[in-house]
Order: sequence, then structure tokens, then C-alpha cells
Amino acid sequence: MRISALALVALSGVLAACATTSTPQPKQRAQIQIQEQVGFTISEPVSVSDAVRMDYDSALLLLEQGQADEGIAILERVVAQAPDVSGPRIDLGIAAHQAGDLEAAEQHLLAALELNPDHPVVHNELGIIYRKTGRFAEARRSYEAALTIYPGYHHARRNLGVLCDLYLADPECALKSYEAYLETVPEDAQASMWISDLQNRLGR
Amino acid sequence: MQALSGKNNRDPGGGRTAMAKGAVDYDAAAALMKVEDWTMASDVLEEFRSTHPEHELNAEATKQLAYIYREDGQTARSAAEHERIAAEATDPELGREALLTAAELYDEVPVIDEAVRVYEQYVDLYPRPLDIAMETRNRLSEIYHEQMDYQRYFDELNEMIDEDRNAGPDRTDRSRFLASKAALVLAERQYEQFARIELTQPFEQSLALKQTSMDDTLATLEALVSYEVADVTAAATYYIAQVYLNFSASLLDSERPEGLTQAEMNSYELVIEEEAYPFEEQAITVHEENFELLAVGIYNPWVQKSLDRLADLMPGRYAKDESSEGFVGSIEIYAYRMPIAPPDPVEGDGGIDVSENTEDAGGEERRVVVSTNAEGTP
Repeated sequence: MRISALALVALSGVLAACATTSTPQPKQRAQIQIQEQVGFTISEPVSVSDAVRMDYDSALLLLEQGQADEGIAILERVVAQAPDVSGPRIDLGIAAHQAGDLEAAEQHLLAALELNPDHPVVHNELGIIYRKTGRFAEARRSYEAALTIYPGYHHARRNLGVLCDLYLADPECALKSYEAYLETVPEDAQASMWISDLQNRLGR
Repeated sequence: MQALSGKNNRDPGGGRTAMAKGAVDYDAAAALMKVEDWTMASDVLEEFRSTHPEHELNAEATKQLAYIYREDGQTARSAAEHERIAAEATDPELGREALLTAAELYDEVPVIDEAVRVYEQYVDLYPRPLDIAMETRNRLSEIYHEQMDYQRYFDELNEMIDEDRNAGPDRTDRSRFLASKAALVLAERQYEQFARIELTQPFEQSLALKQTSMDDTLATLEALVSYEVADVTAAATYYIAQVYLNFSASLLDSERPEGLTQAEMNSYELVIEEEAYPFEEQAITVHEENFELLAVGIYNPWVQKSLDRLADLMPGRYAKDESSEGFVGSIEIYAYRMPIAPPDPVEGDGGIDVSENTEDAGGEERRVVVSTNAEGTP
């Protein structure tokens, strides 16, 4: 291990689970390793067969090739065979989102969140879905949850800014979020313009 | 069974005996119903009804048959019995309810032609209660739409609007809501007709036609606001903006006159742009008004559609998509690296070293995904 000064956070405390049930149950502790100003790593010790791993890889390949229905069908099989693993559930949620099925996406992501409650990716994805379905307060809470776990998570910074700017009519929050986002993605010229526009609107 | 139904009974004793015999048969059917022998019970009751057409229990037998056929899954026969109940009912409320049930049962089967026939009969006979009549007309309009019978579909929508408008004190929130939805469909149709008008030569002629259509369409859309239904108001506002936007685009795309010199053509282009621009500005203003409904807590697909159009018209202000991680891509490890993170001094590929966690029990190395890029959401 070459990472120094790692913060180790236990994510999911519930150990008991039944592998045959379809209800997601945290079987093993997912862990997040946070390295300030660099990133984070979430590791989730799992035990799945090679066949499941092959299914998972082929599902992702299909999804990347735009074969959504086929990819989702295989991912659903993976999730059924590995119900206590969060990664495939997150990907299933993202795939459903991309396919336009926001309801299914939300269900998959909420199930992933039960397994891995402090996964910034899940909070961010849920935030987008809540925004798209008009639940702006929930969207804000989701982005803020992602940023509580990892304040440098640039997707959540940007998305909170967009939410505050366009949907919550909260320009102060928008400006603060865009500025925080730009600190992590300084080459984003578009975001620089958004900040200038907001500053003009705020009379600064 | 024949003994129960009395099929071969003589009636030498006259009407009183017949009436008594009929009552026995009716009771026998009731007993069969108790044990849910629907086939036998219906046979007895059908026999009873044909053998004793004047029996005082005849109307009750029809009700029982309607129930039996429904329980037995013979929905269309139950519908027919409900129609009979409606026709024979002396109580108007019973007749009304039975007729509506008959239509709904035909619809459920579905025997659509029969459903339409009875629904139409219902709205003719029972314009009140208004809400139920409006719901029935709404269902009729859906059926006509499914059948692609557009003339009857539009006629029914107009009927809904008129019924609600003329209902006076009987008007309800529900009737107003259904009428507003009907009016929106008709307004959308009018908008489509307006939008299809192209500005061709002779320009003045096509312009006059399009302007008249624009005025009429705007008046129709503005009238929708009076329904005070949030979704319909937002839809109307969206279409009002789109009318202005379409008019602007039509001017810009209009057929140019022939025979102009280059200088004349340049001047013409300038005039066209000057004429078109205010309409685009107006479209932006109206879309922004729609989008401002968010500030009062109204969010619906029409508000979002206005935002989508604003993103096209003013991308710097409104084209702001969320970013997403994309697929996690790994079963046990997910690694995120900030875009500004310094390059990994060892790996040199920008990735966090997670090699300790990438091997499964079998020692096989697994893929690690490192995310640094913002991607637009689906």
C-alpha cells in the first residue's frame, strides 16, 4: 500500500446476510479510503463466481456498445446472483437511467445505497434522478450527502450548482458550488462563464 | 334440474300456482348461488325468466344474473344483463348506475363497439352528475383516439369543453380539469396547423395567412389560462412561446424573392433578420416566464420543456447539464481521482494504487476504474 495518510471509514456495519435472498443485505464491510486533494477508493470484499464476473463484464461491454436491453438483462442476472454487492446495482441504476427508466433507476440506486450508504457516486446519481423528477429538496440533500463524504467530489459540486442555479433560484448556493467545482476542474471554461454570469446577476 | 327449474311443469291451477312455482325456482337459484354453482344458477334463472316473464321476481332475477355472469367471468353477458336492468329500472338512479356499469363491463372485456354504444347512450341520458358524464366523455374520447377516429375524437373533446362551460353551478374542479385537458389537445392541434404554414412567395399572401393563424392560435392558448389548471397554464405558456419562436424561424426560412440584385438581397436579408429577432426575444421572455413558475413551486414537463428551449436559445445561461460518473465498472473496487489531483508518482497514470484490493481469492487481478472526467448525464 503506497497511499499515506489514509482515512479509513467503515461504511456498512451490518454483517448478517443471506446470500439466497434477493433483498440487499450488507454482508461485508465496504470501506472508503479517502486521500485529501487526490480522491477516494471504495473497496468491497466480495465473493462471487467467475461466471458472475464474466456476466458483469459482458453486461458492461454491451452497455458501452449501446445494447441497453441486453446489457440490463445480464446485469439483472448478476444482481440476482450477487444481491449483496453494490457495484452491479449501481451500474444497473445508471443503465436504467440512461435507458430513461427513472423509476427503476431510483429503485436500484436506493438498493445500492442500503448496501453502501456512503458511496458518493450513488448519492450523485440519485440527486440527478430526484432533480429530473422534480424533487429538488431531495436532490440537494443527495448532492450534499455526496459532498459530506468527499467534499472534493467534482460531479456533486457541479450538480449542486446547477440545481441551485436553475431549479432552486438560489444564486448564492450556485455561485459557491460552481466556484468549488472550478477549483477541482480549473480548465472548465464553461463553468468560468457560469460564474461570471452569476456574479453579474448578483451585481458583483 | 328440470324439477328445480320447472321446465316441464304444467300450471293447471292458474296464475297463483305459477307464481308460487316461480318463487320456488328463484329460491333454488339462490341456493345454487350460495354454493357458487354459477352455471346451474344461471340456467335456473334464465329458465325462470323465460317461463315466468311476468313474475314479480323477474327484475331481481336479472340482477342476480348480472352478478352471476360477472362472478363467472362472463363479463359481456353481465354487461348485457346490466343493460337490461337499466332498461327495466323504475328507479332512475338504479338505471343510471346499471347503464354505466354495463358500458364499463363491455369496456373491460373489451367489446369496444358495445362499450361505445352504451357510453354514448349514457352521456345522452345522464348529463348529470356532471363529473361522471365528463369522465365518461373522456373515456369515449380515449377510445376514439385509440381507434384513430379523429373526427369523433375532436367532436367529443369539444363536447367536453361545452358541457363544462355551460354547466353553471354544476361545474366542478374535476369537470374544469377534464375540460382544460380537452381544450389543450385542441389548442395543440391548432398550434400544429399554424406551425406548418410556410412563408412562400408571394410573400404578402402567405404572411397574411400565417399572421392570422398566429393571432387565432395565441387567442386560443391565452384562453387556456382561464381554466386555472397549473399544468395546462404551463403548457399554454410553452406553446405561446413556441408560436413566437416558430414565427421568427419561419421569417428566417421564408422563400426569398427572385430577381433581386446582390445589394437588394443583402438589404432584404437584413430586413428579415430585423423582423424575426423581436419574435425570438418574445419567445425567450415567455419561456422564461414559464420557467419562473419553479419559483412558486410549480414544476412539470412543460416547465422543463421551456428550460430545454431556453438552453437552445441562450445556452450560456440555461444549457447546464448535470455530470455523472458513468458506470462503476468493477465489482469490488471503485476509485475516484479528482481532476486536479497530481499525477501518481509511482503509477504515472493518474490512478490511485489499489492493487492490494484488486485480487480475488484466486489471485486473479481485477479491473480498477479511476474516474476523473465529468460526463453529461443521459
